[in-house]
Amino acid sequence: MSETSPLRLADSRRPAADSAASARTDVADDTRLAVEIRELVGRGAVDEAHERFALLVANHQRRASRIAFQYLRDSAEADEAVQDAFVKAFSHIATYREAWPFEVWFTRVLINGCLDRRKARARRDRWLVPADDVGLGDAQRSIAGTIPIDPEQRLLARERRHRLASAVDQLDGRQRTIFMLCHYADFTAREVSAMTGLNESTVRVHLFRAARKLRAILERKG
Amino acid sequence: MSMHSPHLHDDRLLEHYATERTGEPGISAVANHLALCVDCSGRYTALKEWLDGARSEAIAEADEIFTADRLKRQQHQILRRIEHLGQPARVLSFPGRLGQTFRRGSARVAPRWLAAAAAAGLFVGVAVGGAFFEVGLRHGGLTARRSVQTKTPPNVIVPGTSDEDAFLSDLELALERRGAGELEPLDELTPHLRGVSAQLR
Repeated sequence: MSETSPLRLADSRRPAADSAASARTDVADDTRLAVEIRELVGRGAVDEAHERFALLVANHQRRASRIAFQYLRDSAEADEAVQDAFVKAFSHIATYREAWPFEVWFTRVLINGCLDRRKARARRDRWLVPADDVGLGDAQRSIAGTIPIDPEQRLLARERRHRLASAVDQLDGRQRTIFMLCHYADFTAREVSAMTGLNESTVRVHLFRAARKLRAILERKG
Repeated sequence: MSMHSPHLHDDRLLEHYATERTGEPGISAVANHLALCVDCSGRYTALKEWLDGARSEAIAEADEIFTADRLKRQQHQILRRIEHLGQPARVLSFPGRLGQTFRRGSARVAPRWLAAAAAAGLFVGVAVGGAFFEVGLRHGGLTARRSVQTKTPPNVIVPGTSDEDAFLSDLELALERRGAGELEPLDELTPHLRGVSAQLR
């Protein structure tokens, strides 16, 4: 599906304040679409359901990839986690209820998958040397055209990102999840509360603690 | 604002930042205070810069990896996997001739006989071995064992380890077994740790 789908929400929602109203409409569109897919699957119109689901994939995959990458810090594994989450979402679409937007439900599926992968990796790392992978090589990324061409800038950016990622990794599990979802994926405390099953005020407390702790870690290092 | 300080707490600033960024209506009391207080306004600006910077770094890093091409490939892969959902797994046919050979009744007789013979051999071996061991013990045929035991240095036991506990518990169990009394002459011949330690002192 093209990236310019009218139902696209993942990026349009991000710049926040000014586009908030339209973003909410997109969320509602996605939820309607998910309900439609559920009905199509129920009726056995699988081909049509696949077509509609492709729209949902296009709308959510960028944000899903960002979240998965922040969790796993490994591009190949993040890719697999996103794929698994979408496949799981489709195969369990019958259990989707419109009480929450599709993206909240889907993100919950994704996070659970990422957490399982982190656990499995921790077990593996006890016996094997972990691979030093942050995705593509620098050369390949330069071809993509988004990475700074200047080697010094590239090195500094890489260093900054590495410091930030390792600081985020030092947060405890809940704080990390909440910080990523609120700060990187722009979910509200209410949405994160629905995903994690935590009280909304608890989400806020974890978010504040995470931000304070992160700042302290980064200031200590830098 | 707290009761004791005229300035906003960091958590209030964070809350204001979070609500502002997600497009929810900001906290008006905080916004009013920020408009009037230079200190808090400066702190808020610094906090906002730091959080925005961290966010844009993280997003840029992920977006550099997940390029449009890669996302397209990912989408293609997802749709392919979804299309195959619910389809029964494809069964690969096993080479027919080989399967037929094993299905013939006569071919199964030999392995059964072999298994029975192997089990019988094992049983006889264990029984005969046990009988020889008993006879050997009664007739003092322990010269080889004695030489092995006397060669063992007495200080191989590392005190204070769990291995030591296990070893000692094995030893106690062995002493309670039938026939342990016959090993007492051998025990007297071997040096004891206590004795060796005393000599060393």
